[in-house]
Amino acid sequence: MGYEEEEKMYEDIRSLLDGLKQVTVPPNFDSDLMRRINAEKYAAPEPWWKKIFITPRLIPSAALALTIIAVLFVLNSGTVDPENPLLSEPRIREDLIVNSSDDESLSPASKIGIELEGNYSKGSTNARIVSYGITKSGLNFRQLHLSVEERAEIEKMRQKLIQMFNQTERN
Amino acid sequence: MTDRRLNELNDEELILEFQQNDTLHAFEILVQRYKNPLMNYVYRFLGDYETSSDVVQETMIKVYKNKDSYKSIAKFSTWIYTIAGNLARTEYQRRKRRNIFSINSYGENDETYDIPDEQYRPDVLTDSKIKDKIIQAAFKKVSGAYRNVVILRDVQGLSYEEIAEITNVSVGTVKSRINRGRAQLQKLLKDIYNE
Repeated sequence: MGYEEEEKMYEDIRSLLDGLKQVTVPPNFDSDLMRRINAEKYAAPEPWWKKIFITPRLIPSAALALTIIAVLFVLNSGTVDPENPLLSEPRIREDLIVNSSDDESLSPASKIGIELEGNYSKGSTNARIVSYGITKSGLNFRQLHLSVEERAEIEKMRQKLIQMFNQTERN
Repeated sequence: MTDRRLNELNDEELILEFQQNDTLHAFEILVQRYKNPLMNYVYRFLGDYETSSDVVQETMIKVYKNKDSYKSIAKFSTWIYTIAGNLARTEYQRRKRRNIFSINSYGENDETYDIPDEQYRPDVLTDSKIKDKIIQAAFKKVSGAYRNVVILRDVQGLSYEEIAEITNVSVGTVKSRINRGRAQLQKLLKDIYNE
């Protein structure tokens, strides 16, 4: 539909609106306006401390914001951060750590302080035990203060272990 | 500058004089030129005389206080109509919020309702005042975005380009809104011009 057709279509409504009485301002409009302008012009500036305080119309929104913050705080404090046991690193026990040597020429017995005589090769052993002194080198262990009875017990177990080891050697 | 010389200046020259030399009389002349057209515009939009008068006063105060924000690239009339329109819309929204049960709403897509009013039956229409009231009541039932442009075009007689500048939409949108607004009014006022 063209512009002129549209204008013609609404001709009745246009003439009706065109014939409306013009509304004018009240008689005291000018004086009121100048009074308001002068009142604003010479009004004392707002004191700085008034700007600090919250205006009444902001109170509802401020209260809402505070409530949301409080709710979030409560919800966060109640939750425990669950650690996935499958993803976490295992706890390291220092008293069980043995610093392994990368020296392949050493026999497993040498690594724990047993001295061997003869040839040692991987897979077969033709060596003989010379001493069984287990040294502290290479071990990261916790020192224990043993009682006399405990020491005797350990010594007894050590002797038994040596006998068993020698028997195995002979066989 | 003498008063007589000031009266001969156009709107843009007057606001320039007010901006540069703070000539109060230049501002007063602008108030005299625009107070009634703006009152007519705002009243047709809001439908309340007292409030409309306040809005027009507020418009003039804004012009006075923010005279330096006017740039001479725009027409003074579109600038002052924009200020008045914005203030009228703000007032309209404020009133709407206050009146929870209002059945009229502002917005292009909002529904409007036509309530039969026995007080203004066509057979008792004899007085132009009553006619005026009916038209004003019909305006209130038209969506705000349409009402605004219809008033600017058919009541205030502004051009499509001026309305586009005031409402900050394209000329095409202005034309479309005017036609929709007119169609709504035509439907609401059919009893008046068919009598």
